[in-house]
Amino acid sequence: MSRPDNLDFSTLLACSVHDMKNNVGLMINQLAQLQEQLGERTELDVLGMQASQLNQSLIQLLAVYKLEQNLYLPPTEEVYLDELCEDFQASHHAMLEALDIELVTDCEMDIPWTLDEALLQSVLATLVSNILQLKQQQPDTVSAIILRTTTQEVEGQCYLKISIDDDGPGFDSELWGHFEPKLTGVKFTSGNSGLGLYFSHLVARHHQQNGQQGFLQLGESEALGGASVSFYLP
Amino acid sequence: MADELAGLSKLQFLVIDDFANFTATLRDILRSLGAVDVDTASNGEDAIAQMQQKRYDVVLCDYNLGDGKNGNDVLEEAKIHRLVKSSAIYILITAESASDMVRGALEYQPDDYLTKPLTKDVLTTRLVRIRTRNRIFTDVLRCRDRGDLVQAVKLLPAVIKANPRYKRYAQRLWTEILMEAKQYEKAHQLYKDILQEKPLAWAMLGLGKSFYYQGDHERAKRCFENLLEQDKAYVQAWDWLARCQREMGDLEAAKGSLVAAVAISPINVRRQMQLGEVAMEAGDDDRAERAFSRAVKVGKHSIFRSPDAYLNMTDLLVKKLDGAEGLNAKRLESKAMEAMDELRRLYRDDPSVAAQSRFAEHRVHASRGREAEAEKSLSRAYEICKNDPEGRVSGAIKEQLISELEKQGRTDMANELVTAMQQEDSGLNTKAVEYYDKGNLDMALKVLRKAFADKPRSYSVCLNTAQVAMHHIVKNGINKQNMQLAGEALERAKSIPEDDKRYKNLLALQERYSKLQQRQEAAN
Repeated sequence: MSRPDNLDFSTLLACSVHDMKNNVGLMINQLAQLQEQLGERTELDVLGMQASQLNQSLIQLLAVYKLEQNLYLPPTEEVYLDELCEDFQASHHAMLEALDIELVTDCEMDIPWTLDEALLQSVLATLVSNILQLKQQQPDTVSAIILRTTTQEVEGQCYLKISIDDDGPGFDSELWGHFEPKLTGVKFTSGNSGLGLYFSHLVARHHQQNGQQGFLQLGESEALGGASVSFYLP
Repeated sequence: MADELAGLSKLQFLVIDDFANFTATLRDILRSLGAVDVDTASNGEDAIAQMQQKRYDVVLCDYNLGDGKNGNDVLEEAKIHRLVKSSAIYILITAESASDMVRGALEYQPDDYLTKPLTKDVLTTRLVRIRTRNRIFTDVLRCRDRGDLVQAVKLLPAVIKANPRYKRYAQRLWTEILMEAKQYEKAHQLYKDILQEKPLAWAMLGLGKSFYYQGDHERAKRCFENLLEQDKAYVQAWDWLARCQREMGDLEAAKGSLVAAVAISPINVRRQMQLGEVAMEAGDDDRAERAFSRAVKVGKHSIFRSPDAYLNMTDLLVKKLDGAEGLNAKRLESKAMEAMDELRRLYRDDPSVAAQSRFAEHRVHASRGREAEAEKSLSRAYEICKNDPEGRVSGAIKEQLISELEKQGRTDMANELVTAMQQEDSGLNTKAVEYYDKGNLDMALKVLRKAFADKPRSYSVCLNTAQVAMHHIVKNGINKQNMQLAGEALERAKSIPEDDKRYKNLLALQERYSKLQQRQEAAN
């Protein structure tokens, strides 16, 4: 990764996170190999899951750092929404299935959208990872996730809405609505979801098009009754 | 989906990663999908070597390959030297998120990017997706591989119409093929159309390149500057900007651009070579030497390796050596000598390299005041040049040697070398004769002009040049340039001794020349 000239502590931290991530990556590979050798499900599954969650956290930290430092280029890539969903499914379906969580995707076909898919998949993975963590702590909380992409008009402008819903305990109602980290005063130091939401917020805002900026919306899932996180991308 | 996976057993895979652990995992995944033929390589150099041996259908390459080349360098070499077919699938894998690799901006695009850790499901999804796309473009890609670019372009509009989903990919392919076919005006128009739809970095880079190839360096320059305003790390834009600046004569600016490019991505032979050349032209010997040294170092196992990097570096070292003392002089000297040794090892059968390296050695010894050794190196260079009946060592090199021999007072050797050069032939000469025999006078003359410029001493080149130039005049009328060429060639050939079997030929040509001269004067 690029290193700005003045090595302040956050840069130093980002560099260390970067190295840590490589180590975790190796660990994950080795675990996968061990798993292969031992055959079917073992305790290693849990270890593997923990490792990939650790990996996800590190990716998230790095991405947040880069977003704050403005190190990402504006997105120019055009992605078909059904492919976005397909990729999401391929990345998570095995893990979700292992924990008895049903995954449903609902995508509009044949619509290309300009977005940073790598970043978006990474932030979705963070949200999934948070759900998985919750599930491990409280097995009877979440049983289903829906990923849905639709186009929606907001104040006369067309936005892409990507939402991820679950049937877990949901957000406090005071968090509902347009997400603004400063106004709502989420404490990022406590708990996982705080940082996850902040990351989501940054990714949404990173998407800009003709003067419009993306945003994040939180709410209650209509379909599942749990949490609903929606990215609105211009 | 199963359909697209069915053929996997017939495909040849290459997996490249510096961690054996990861290549093994990936190989297992591929085998579990039905692949049979899976090779692995642990660095870029090995990967290129393997690609030269075998035509792979799918290459999975990690971006970060340790100290050597990165995954993009490997892709670039593979594409430029056509080590993989157009229809082959090239996937770059990264431990970071793909955005770090200037996604979408690379000059040579991989078919896909994947992020580690890689799962079986993700790999399957992507492979199926790319194969589905490639199937749609099969005919276009086949034409391209066959070199039938006209047909490839003809096929594209219908494919796009039937498959609007692949419009972007098709547009990109289209521009690539047009550029390959050197149809710069058409490519230009297409890039402009694409940019009007969307400000895509690759299209802007392409637009700049199409301006550059049409000779409009000013407009080209503006395209690249525009890209750099948005992204200072866009290394290809720096490369191309430097090319424009060099063409426009602004060497300092070109140097600055290349310094910026090298700072971003140093492991690239061609970039370092360019920097070396530009710095040398701009008179910045230190920078030039450093760049050529880097080119030597990173180019050892590259297809882009060139003797010029070694020779230029040594020239600059010798220049520095004059006036250097003590340890510093020792260091410069051993660096130069080692480079020449290595160069000869790498190009064993190349007399041109051998002659130049011996000549360079001579200069090293001479500047250190070791006369005996200097003389020995010089005579080695001399021996190689003297025994070169096919003319594989260029005329320019030999002329340099001649003036050095004369400077050393060895007129005997200089004269012998001149005699040898007068007797030598040239590959261009042979080619010109072929054109001449086929009745293609224009091409024969064009090739001979080149031959004469390179080997003005060679009798056979001189005689042929004079003959063809005059034949051209007889057929197409008096032409000042051709008259002058014939005159110069005959002047060079007039020292042919009387016992040479070509002497008669010379006399006949001289006679014809004076007749033409009279005709020309009469016409005036």
